[in-house]
Amino acid sequence: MISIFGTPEFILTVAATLLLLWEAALNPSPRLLGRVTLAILIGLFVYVFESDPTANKALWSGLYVWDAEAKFFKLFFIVTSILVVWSIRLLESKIEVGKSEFYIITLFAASGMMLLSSVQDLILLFVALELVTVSFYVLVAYHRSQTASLEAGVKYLVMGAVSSAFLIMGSAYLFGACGSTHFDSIGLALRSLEMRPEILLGLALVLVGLFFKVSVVPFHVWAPDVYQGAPLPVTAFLAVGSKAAGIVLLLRLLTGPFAGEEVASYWIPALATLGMASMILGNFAAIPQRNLKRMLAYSGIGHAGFLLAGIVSNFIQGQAAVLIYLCTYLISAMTVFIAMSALGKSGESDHVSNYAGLSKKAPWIAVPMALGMVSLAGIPPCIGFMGKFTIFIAIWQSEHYALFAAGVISAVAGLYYYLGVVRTMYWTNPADKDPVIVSFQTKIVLGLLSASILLIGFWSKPLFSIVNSIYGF
Amino acid sequence: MESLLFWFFTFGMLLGGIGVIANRNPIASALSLVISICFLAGLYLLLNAFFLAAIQIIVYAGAVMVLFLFIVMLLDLRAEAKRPFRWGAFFVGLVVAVLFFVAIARVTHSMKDRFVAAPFGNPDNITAIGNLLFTRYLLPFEVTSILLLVAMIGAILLSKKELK
Repeated sequence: MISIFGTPEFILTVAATLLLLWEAALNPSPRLLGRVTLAILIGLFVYVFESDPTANKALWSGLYVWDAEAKFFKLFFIVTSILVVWSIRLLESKIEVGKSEFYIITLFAASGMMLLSSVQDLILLFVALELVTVSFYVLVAYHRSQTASLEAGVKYLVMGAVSSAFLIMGSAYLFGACGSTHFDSIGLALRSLEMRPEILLGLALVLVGLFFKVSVVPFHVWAPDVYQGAPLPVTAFLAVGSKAAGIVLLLRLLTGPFAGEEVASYWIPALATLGMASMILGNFAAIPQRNLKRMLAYSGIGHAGFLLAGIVSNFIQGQAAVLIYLCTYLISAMTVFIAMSALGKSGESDHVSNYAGLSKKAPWIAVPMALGMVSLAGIPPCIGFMGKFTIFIAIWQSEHYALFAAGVISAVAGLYYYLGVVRTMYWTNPADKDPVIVSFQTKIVLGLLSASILLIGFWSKPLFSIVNSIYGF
Repeated sequence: MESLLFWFFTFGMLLGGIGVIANRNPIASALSLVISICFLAGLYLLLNAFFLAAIQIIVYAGAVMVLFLFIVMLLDLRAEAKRPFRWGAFFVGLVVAVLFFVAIARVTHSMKDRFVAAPFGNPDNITAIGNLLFTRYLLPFEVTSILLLVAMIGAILLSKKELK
């Protein structure tokens, strides 16, 4: 039994506020504050992991739901935040001002994402999404003396405002058509009404707002510039956390109130087309990129396409495949980002040429990074292969053969640029001989991530059984 | 009379909105937004939503926009520099805008027969809003406060001259 004071968002928000007060009153060193942040997140992980999602479902007058899916996503966002905080710790020396606040705003963004995994109402959806987005406006522009970071901040601000406008306009139409903002009431209204154009327009506008967050073609234009300009931990948080937050909302809406066959016959073709476009454009546009963050942005667009494909296969297997894919993406992408942060400590880390001969200079970074890249490319036996494989099965079962073909083509195109980075690291000579120092703890984190890439890739039954237990099969 | 007022407020709002985009001078732009907001408050009045109309004027036209103007004047923003007109962007934008307009117009047109007179707003709707805000919608209300806190920290972090 969980009271409203026992919800993880509540605990995290209170903790973040207390950290803020502690920072203002006693001025602790950012290193210590970072350590406490990490401890809070790990404690919260244990707390959520031990909680029982079946005890009580609706909280806060039904606006907030606490079910197995919410629990899964909350754990997902906590793990993401832990790894992002680790990346911040690695790059702390690069933050000029407000080192402590960087951790605290990350916590606020994390609590917003966790809240998003529980929303059952359009009003709460909007407010929680704004909490995440506003935190990101600040985080993206954090290197305020660097033009690139500021430019990224402005671009993200404008795009975020436009997407929020779409979302709120769509919510207004849905409210007008259904007479309520609650998901259950919308679902009920959809089942009793005949299909009305205003419902479709409302749904389309809400989806556009969410597509911006997930960076789906053609709403992806902001992603490369923002990923490139933002500080590295923020890029990681955007790539994994923000994308997953958009996906959980899509799942909540499209498998909740809009799951009905009639309305699904409208959104399935739309999502399939956009998913196909994202896969192909993302993976092909990533090939010529020489900036690693930019490349990962385009690859992230491609991954968004795969996730949409999973949602489109309107089977319960499709949803399970999306969750598995997100887990594999989390582990693979965060491995790459943490390896980049570990290297970034000693110099510029964005450009691919900086990785030349890394295997000789810093094998502790090169091996996990190569594993992460191989896993993102979806080569067996890495975990990324399991993700792609389950998505492909779901697409095949739902008989979207064009989508399947596009997926195969873009997966092959993906091999080229992911392995290009590996080639640069292993088969070229380093420009200089300066050794890169990696701390013992970071070696452990990277080792754990690499081990999970390989182990879960070989033995993925636990992951599957967790996801399957959510959907009860 | 009411429909006359409706069209008056609507056209005023739209003209204000166009003024926001069309003006190159940021101050004129901000003032156009004030005009647009005031006319929108008029529409709320027609719906008997007096509280919303008052809040619209006090908070948006008053507090927020005055703050905007202050900042624009403090930063001493010049009129936006003339950029070369890009026909490509103009046409793509035009096509998207027309498509969007057609979609909205068609949907609204199809709703025409089902329009019902808006439930005549309860003159006592301050109580109703307050009740909803502090009971059913307490969670979004509280999240908004956290949102404002983050925005405040962010504004200080990004703009304060000397930070340690």
